[in-house]
Amino acid sequence: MTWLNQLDPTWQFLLFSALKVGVAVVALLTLVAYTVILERRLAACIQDRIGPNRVGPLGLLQPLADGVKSFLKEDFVPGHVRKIYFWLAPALIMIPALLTLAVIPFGSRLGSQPLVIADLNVGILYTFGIVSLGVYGIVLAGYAANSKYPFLGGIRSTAQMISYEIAMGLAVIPVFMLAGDLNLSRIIDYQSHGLFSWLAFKLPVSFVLFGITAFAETNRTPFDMPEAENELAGGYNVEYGSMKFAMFFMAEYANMIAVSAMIVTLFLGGWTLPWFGLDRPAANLWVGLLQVGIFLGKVAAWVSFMIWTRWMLPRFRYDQLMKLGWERLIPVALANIVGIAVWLWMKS
Amino acid sequence: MPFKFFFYLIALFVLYSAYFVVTARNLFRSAMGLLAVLIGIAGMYLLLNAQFLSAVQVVVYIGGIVVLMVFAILLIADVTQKVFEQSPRWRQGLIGAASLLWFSLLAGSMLSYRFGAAAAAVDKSGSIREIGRALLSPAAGGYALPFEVISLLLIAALVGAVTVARADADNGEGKEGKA
Repeated sequence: MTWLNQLDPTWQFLLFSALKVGVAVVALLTLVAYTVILERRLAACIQDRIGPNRVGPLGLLQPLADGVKSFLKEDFVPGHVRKIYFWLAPALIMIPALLTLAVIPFGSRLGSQPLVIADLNVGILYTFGIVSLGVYGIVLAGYAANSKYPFLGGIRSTAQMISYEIAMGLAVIPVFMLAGDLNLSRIIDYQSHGLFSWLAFKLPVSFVLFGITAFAETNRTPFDMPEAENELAGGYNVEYGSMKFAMFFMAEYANMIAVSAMIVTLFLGGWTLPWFGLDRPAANLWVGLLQVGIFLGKVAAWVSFMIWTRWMLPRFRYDQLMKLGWERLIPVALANIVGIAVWLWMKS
Repeated sequence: MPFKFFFYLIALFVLYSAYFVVTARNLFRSAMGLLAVLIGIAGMYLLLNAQFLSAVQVVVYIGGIVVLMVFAILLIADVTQKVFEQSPRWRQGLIGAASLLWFSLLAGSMLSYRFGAAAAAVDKSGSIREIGRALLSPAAGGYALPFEVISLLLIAALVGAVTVARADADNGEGKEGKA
């Protein structure tokens, strides 16, 4: 490994960044595949069915079979669609989901390398920007399809995204008032002083608000209006098939994982655990790997929670969705900000 | 010179997209062009080391305003219509003249302003802490008063918009009630 140390810093940085990007993307796509099977098995358990259990042991090779199937299907483009947008939409919906990962610290460090791809000073603003790009994939898909149901799905999606983004942004402001920084690594540092320094315990209102809006931003039940099967026959992706449909499908789960990673980082202490000194940056390789495992475990727990919710709750009606967003969540978020500000001011 | 290369690349991209916005014959395509312009400008900010400005540009303009525009276009415009009529010649000429006037005004005021050395500004404009202090401090060097005035202006505009919209809605309901 001596040749690594002899490289000049620029090349070292490029090499390690490329490595981290590669590993993170591959890990994310693998996680996406297994989140799908987790969703199907959990759904089956909740509905007292068995679920997919035939491909490989316990059905664990099912994602592979699904992938092969998507690739082998004919990539059919209907005649009435707007071609450019039709091709662009699946890419546009997948990109933001992958980009969000860049600023999330998924471990403390391995050797001398910090386990975050880009340690931006405006970390959380960056994620908000990227998340807000996600809506364009759905809108373009709806517009491109040039038919009624996808179009309605697109319109619903825009209105829903704008409404809940405001609540999400307002919910997160108290986090920065307490931590005093937008950098996600710094926010994890702030949470590494015992279990009750986790922001989920310090800011329960923010945590709950952020959790609710996270469901809305990822179009998960009870907020899955853009793809409500029984109203819109599947919504924005009706006209898609083969691998293009698979892209939408994967993006949904990738978004779920990304938003879970954000929640874990902001509110649940990121890669730290308050026991056995696991809240300090790793001293050796094994502890470093263990902390990556802790992070993944927390993400998996939140993803399972999102799946569980989907099979427990019915969908909101559209006016209820808007009412909840504008008349409940936003006022509560504003009151929360003022409350925390007053509390901080009294304390200082 | 990678900096210069990227600068001209982004500038070219922004200019082309801006041209596309005003010449596209379909509202939706114009909105997509505007999206490209704003992304390009966000990239430009990033190139100039203004991370915060770049992120805010993406959150506010790309994630908020253009989404709202697209929403309005999808709701109002007849999106099945492929192209829109071109405006008459005299109008095009007028618009061209107005843009030229505006451009010369901007260029004139920018050329006559004596910008400070870049080195002094860099460390201040970069960090969020400095921006926050500058925006909210009432002391010298702070911009608390302009900040509040702008907030007031925005609230006035908001209230005005709601009032206008509500007056229309009330009339509409009244008519429906009679019929």
